[in-house]
Amino acid sequence: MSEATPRKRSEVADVDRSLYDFVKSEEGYERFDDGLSEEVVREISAKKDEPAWMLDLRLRSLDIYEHTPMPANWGPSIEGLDMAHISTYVTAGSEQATSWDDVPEDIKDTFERLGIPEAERTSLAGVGAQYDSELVYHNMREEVAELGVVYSGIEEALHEGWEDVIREHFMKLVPPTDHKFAALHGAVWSGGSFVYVPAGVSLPYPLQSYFRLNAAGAGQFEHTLIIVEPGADLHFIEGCSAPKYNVANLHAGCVELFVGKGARLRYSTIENWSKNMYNLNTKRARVEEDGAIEWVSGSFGSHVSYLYPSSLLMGARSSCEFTGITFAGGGQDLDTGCKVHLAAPDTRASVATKSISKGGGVSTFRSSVVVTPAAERAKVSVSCQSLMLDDESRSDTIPAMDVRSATAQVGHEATIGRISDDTIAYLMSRGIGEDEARTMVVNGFAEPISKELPLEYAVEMNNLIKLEMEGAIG
Amino acid sequence: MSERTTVLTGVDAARAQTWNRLGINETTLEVPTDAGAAGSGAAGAAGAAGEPPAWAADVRLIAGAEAQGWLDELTSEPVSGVSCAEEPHEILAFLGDVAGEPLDVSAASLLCEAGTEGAVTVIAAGEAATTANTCRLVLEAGATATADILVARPKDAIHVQSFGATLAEDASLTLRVWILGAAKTTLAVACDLEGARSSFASELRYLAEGEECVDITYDVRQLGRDTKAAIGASGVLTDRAAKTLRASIDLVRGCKGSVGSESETVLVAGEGVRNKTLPVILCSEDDVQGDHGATIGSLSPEQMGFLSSRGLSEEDVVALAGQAIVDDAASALGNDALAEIVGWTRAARGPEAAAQAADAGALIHGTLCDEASKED
Repeated sequence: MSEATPRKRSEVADVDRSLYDFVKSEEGYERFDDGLSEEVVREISAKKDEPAWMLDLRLRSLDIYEHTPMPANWGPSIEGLDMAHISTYVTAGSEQATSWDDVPEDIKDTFERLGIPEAERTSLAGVGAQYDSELVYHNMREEVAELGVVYSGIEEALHEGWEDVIREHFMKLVPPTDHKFAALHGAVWSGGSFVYVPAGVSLPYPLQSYFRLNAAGAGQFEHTLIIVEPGADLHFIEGCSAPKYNVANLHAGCVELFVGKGARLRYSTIENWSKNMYNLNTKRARVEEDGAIEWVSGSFGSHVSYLYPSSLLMGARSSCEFTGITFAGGGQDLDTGCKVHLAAPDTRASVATKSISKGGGVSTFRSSVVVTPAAERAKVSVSCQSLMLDDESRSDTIPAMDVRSATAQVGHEATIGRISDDTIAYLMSRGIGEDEARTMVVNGFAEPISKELPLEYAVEMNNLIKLEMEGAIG
Repeated sequence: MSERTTVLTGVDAARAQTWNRLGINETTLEVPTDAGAAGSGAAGAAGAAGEPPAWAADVRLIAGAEAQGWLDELTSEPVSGVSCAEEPHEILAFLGDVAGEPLDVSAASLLCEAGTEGAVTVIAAGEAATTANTCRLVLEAGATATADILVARPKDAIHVQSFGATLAEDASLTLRVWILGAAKTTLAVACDLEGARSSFASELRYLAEGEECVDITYDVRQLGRDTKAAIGASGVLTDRAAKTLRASIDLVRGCKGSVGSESETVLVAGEGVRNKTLPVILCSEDDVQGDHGATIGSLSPEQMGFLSSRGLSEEDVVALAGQAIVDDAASALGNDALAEIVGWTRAARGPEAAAQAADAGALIHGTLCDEASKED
């Protein structure tokens, strides 16, 4: 195209966050002083009446945090995050309820606006709702409880007969030494869910935890621990959001998933933090023989994200599927992707990601695939597609592969580009209007991901990526 | 190896880095510090000693500050040439044939004036324990150049290669690299496609066996409109060989209409092989196409089934794949002496290698210099 004929632009709207961008008063809330200290850590532990080993872990984590630098050679800047101005614990002070009627009115209103109670009634086996640092609601259908499934707050589980199990698994997949914000999490974690699915049990509906951070200048550090015993099957959904403030908020949660022999776990996330959020979350799954982990991940919010769900395929014939989409708009630097570690024979991994960048947003796909010598006959495929919607934005792909097995097969493909003129021209040659053709292409781009989401989240995602087609293509 | 050595860090570093625990971002290199044997024979117009010519001084190099400093320090007689309309120019740098010396370091710079053609050939073969070379190419508008690099060293030798090129509009550069042997080979290629419609195409082929290590970094920046970059890499790894490839294509804002692609095929044929790949695409321009594809693995049961039906064992197939790389080098460089030296590389990477290398090196050096003088 000649320089004299500038391309007309089609506009894709920013993610519409009005649904999530409402603030409730913090009046009457308990809020720890900003900053991080041993005193704060001890205070959190004392508040939760924890066993001594947990306090020890917190203090050890604090020490690791203080001595661990951030990597200087990769990743988005977190210069705007100052722990001296983050409160690590904020609570409304309400008791955890098992009925929405017992949840304080303004908090209940928050979750109703987010559609959580309605989703619980129609399509979920259980719901946990966290507001700032504490769970405010947790409930599970009776018929699911009768199957022996445990779904509760992790702190409640710690005090109700599951201490040994939690101690055996807590921060074992993600040790405090993993990275600086894993250490921070170990020091100040609060809230989160514990799920135990007995051997052979398949849940008919998903469980869902929703995390809402309402307080300005606060951090949320929930811990999710899920154990799926051999032959069991679970779909767990995680949602999160926050209103936008002009100060930094921090999310440094941790998810540890243990998938037993022949078990299957699908872990779906729609993350829609506000654009002042630093999302430094860590998620990891260990999969035993013939087990399967499936990640479905949508990253739409936050100012800065470091998010790479990782899968450790430790058992023969275990498998991992990762399906992810990232939408980076103006003011966002989202560094997302996944890690897969194949350490047993005949393991399988499939990674498919899409990213969209617009309005000056930065989207980085980062992944690692490590195939150890033990992973005989392992098979891996990685596909990463990025769509650039303007020339103010940025899209990078940084996939790393380390193959040490002589019998493995690893395939990788990545593409970056705009909507192809040829594609539009082809569709138009079949009688489809220009705008419609463009809409079809963009919808088709996201469709492989949206079809993996639960229906209500697929609808939410389509709303999030609302496409407003105008003008003609260049 | 000289008694005096130093360990260079930050060698061949990737521009866009990732998790340090993967050990893929960069490498280290132990090299001799003796400067006694710098600057082996090279055919081409002589340039000023020490620094590269002014026209090459700004060519970007990415071997790393320590590695490039070491290269520059030990290069005493850099060679340079200018290809002009009246006289196309070719530079040949042959490394490793300085008998009895542990170290052979050279540098070559080539300026191709507008509309001209030029060529650079770097051959690292022979006896010296460590060979190293820096190539700087500047291509003016419409210029065309080819650069061929062959590394065929004994099993205990090291080769360090730094390569940088800057291309103006409509310029075109083809880089072909064959790495057929050395204890460790490092190759750092930087290419800046500054001019509109400039293009860079590179084919890298490598063969690593035993404990050999190949470490390669490409960093191509596409700055001009409608530029094209294509990086292809393929190789065979056997025994306990290791290979790291970092390939970056940077589609810089403003390079509208540009296309960048990377492709890699690795045949893994050894229980102790380690293959690392970091294929990076950086993009800050929407009207571009960037893609990467990689296939890493062994022969599949289906492939082996077919090949077995034709009477080939897996060992036969791996040997054929390796020989194909050697034959490709010999064929592409178009010289009987080269064929001889690469044949030697395949056949005699044993105790007699050094002597054979010296003989073959002398032969090839003489042959190519003769050819160069004929062209002059």
